[in-house]
Parts: sequence; C-alpha cells; structure tokens
Amino acid sequence: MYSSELIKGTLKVIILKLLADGNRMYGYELSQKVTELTVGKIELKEGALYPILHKLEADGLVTVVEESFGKRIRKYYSLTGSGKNETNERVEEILDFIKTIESIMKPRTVLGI
Amino acid sequence: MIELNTNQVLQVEHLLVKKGISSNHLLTDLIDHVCCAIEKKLEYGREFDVALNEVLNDFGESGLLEIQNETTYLTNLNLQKMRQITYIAGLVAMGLILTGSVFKVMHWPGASIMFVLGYGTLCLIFLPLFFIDKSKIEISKIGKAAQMFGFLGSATLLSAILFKVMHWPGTNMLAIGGLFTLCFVYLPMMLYKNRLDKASPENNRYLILSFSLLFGTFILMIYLKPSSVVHKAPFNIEVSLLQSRSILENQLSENGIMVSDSIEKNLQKSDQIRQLCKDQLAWVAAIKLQIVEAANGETVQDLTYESIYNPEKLGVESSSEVWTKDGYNYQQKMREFQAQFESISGQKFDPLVGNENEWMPNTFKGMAVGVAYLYITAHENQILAMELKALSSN
Repeated sequence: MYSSELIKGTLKVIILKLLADGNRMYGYELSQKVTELTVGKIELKEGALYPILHKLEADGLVTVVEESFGKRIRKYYSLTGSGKNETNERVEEILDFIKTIESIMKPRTVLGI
Repeated sequence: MIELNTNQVLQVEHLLVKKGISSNHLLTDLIDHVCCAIEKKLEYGREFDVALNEVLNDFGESGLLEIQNETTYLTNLNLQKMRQITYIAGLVAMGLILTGSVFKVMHWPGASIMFVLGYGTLCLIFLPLFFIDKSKIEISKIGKAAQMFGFLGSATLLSAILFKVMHWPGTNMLAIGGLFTLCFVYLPMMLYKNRLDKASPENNRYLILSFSLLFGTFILMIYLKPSSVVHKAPFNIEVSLLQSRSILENQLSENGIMVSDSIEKNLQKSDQIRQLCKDQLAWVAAIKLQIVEAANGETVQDLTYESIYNPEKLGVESSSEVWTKDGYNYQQKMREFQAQFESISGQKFDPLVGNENEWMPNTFKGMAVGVAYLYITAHENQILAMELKALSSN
C-alpha cells in the first residue's frame, strides 16, 4: 500500500486509463481491476472512486448507461470523445512525470545515458 | 455466481438511504457496489446478514456520507464560474439601484431606468443564479424545492420594491405574496430540510432570527404606513379650503354691495382693489390649471401626493412659463401684487400662510405638485381675505 498522498493525484488517470482499455466498466469492476492489476498495492476505495467518476461525468469526460443487472440497476461508465483525448494527454503527462521523478530519485541512470 | 434476490437488494437500498445517501445517482452506484461486495463474500460461504454488516462496516461510521459530500463538492467545482457571474451581477445591480436612488433624491433624470435595470438584473440574473447555486449544493429534493421557493419569494418581494418606487400597480399583492412565500413556504421547508440533514441547531437559529426580523419589519411597515393619511391630506385640506373660500366669497359679495352703497369717495379705491384681486385670482387660477394639465392624463382621483410627486416627470416646469424650479417667479408675481395692494388699500400684508415676507414657507423646489396646488389654493383664499378686509374697512 502506498501513502494516500502519493495515490491522490493519480487516481483520476488510473480510472481514465482503465476505461480507455476496458471500453465500459461499472464501479465495483473498476475497483477490483485496480486491485488485480497492482496486486493489491493500490486500492481504489469507494470513497475516492465514486466522487471522481461523478466529477468526470459532470465534466463530460465519461457517460453513463444504466442497465438492469439481476434485481438491481448497474451503471456502466465509458469514455466520451473528449474523455479519450483527455486520457491520452493525462497518460502522457504521468509517464513523463514518472521519468522526471526517476531522474531525481535515481540520478545514476540519468548520468549513464 | 451468486446473485442477490429482490429482498436483499431492497435491504441494501434501505440501509444506504438510512445512512443518509440521498442522491439517486450515487445511490444506484453504491447499491450495485455493495451488492457486488456482498456477493463476493457469499461465494466464500458467508451468510447474507454477516456479509452485509461487514461491507457496511468497511465504509466506517460516516464513510458513506463522506462519499456523498465529496461527490457533491467535486461535481460542483464548475460552479465557480457561475459564482463569479452571480457576484458581478449582484454588484452591478446594487450599483444601479444605489445610483438610481441618488438620482431619484436629486430629481435628476434617468433614475427610473436605473431602478428598472438594477432590479431587473437583481431579479432575473443575480437571484436565479444565486438560488441555482444553492440548490446544486442541496442533495435532497426538499432542499432543491426549498431553494426554488426561496428564489420565487425573494424575487417577488424585490419586484414589489421596484413596483413601489415606479408607482406601478400591484405592489401590495407582490409584497404580501413574496413575504408569505418566504415565511410560510421557504422557511418551513428549510427547517424541515435541516432536520433531515441533521444540520446543527445553530443554522436553524439564524434562519428563524432572520425571518423574524423580515416579518417583523413588514408588520412594522404596515402599522407605521402613513400613506393613507399623507396621500389624502392635501385634498382633505383642499375641501376645507374650498369651503372657506365659498364663505369668503359670500361675505365679500355682501360687504361689497354695502361698501359701494355707503361711501362714494371710496368707490374708486374699492373698484381698484376688486380689479387687482380679480386679476390676481385669475392669474393664480391659470397657474392652478397648468398644474392640473401638467398631471395630464391622470384623473383627479389618481392625482395623489405620490403620483404627482415628480414635477419634471409630469412636465410641469416645461409646460409653464411662470413655473420655475424654485417657484421664484411665482413668488415674485405674488410680491408685486402684495406691494400694489398695500399701496392702494393702505393696509399691511397679513398672511394666512407663511410669514410676512413669504407667500409660502417653502419654495417649490422638490415640492410635490399636490402640495404646491394646496398652497396656491390657500393663496387664493388669502387674496379673497385681503380683499374682504380692505373693502370692509373702507
């Protein structure tokens, strides 16, 4: 588990990236997927997931389709056109960010190049 | 794959609502989420009730409400721009109304336009945005409805002020409608909403205090309302003035005959006095007519103190040659008459209204046409009284 401060800024990108890869997903599926991909190192808690999803929806980056599942309604989230653009930008940004952080944290590899 | 049945789903929903989730959008998400989590536990052989408890405990005591608050907060970030517009609209409206008030007091032109624009901005831009903002933060339906009524009530109440200032009809209906909407719909709804939201009693105290003040002010205004007395006053006095005028005229006609019959050498002097007063009365009557014409289009009933308060609006100054802003010409003409009268009759000026040097205690500046009209009527009586006194003493 990482500290919540580290994770905070990346959750939005993680959700966007998962939606980009998985086409359409529901909330619980998203949280399970994150746990699965990170082997439990990052947990996407409901407390963070739903506020972000609703914010993304309010910003027009994702759309929601409601479908009945068993005896309840399931909401599938998927990216909109602008959501896809936003995802590309954010993913590029965070990859660049990781490199930059690496250059500080592992200065030798940078010197080696 | 185990799937929860209808009863179990309803039980989950019931618990979530009980825990305070009131946004339908979020509720659907959370029901599905909790159901999924329970189903997973059921697959590991847990009982439904145990699994439900475990899942809900994972959220923590206030965890669910925090999700809702966080969601509301994040989705409302877009409101910032709207708030800026609200703020600017509020400033513009207040600026217009304040400037309009200054113009109104100074009797400069353009006050009305500023009032209409100011109150228009206030009621049609500021208030809707303000209450949309408030209702977006509200989660429950009753909260949103309360904000809508808050808008309706305050917009109605504010337009009542505009209607009052502009002398448009329907002010009382608007004021009462707005006030009752605020006090008997908005306030109870807000109190009920606060109870549902478990808001601190502090909020309620402020709400009740501010509304008591609002309602109290209104009641006070009704009690202190001087309008019915003040507005009618000039015309009530007018009636008594006209009555005393007819008495004066009667006395004058009797005395006039007596004077002309008795002393012949005073006949010429009496005639002069009569002619002078007759001319002056005709001139004053013409002024009076101009005032009535200035209030053109209005029936005498509408010609209240209030409706003719604004002389330049009615074109009094422009339509009358003698009617200048401070009534100086009028006074001048009256003084000339006074001097002539004193020289012919040898009597000292003895005013009914005003002091020895003035034909009226005030100038016309900023004076209601109705009051000016009243003074002029008093002056007519004054002239008649002077004439009567002069002829009687002859």
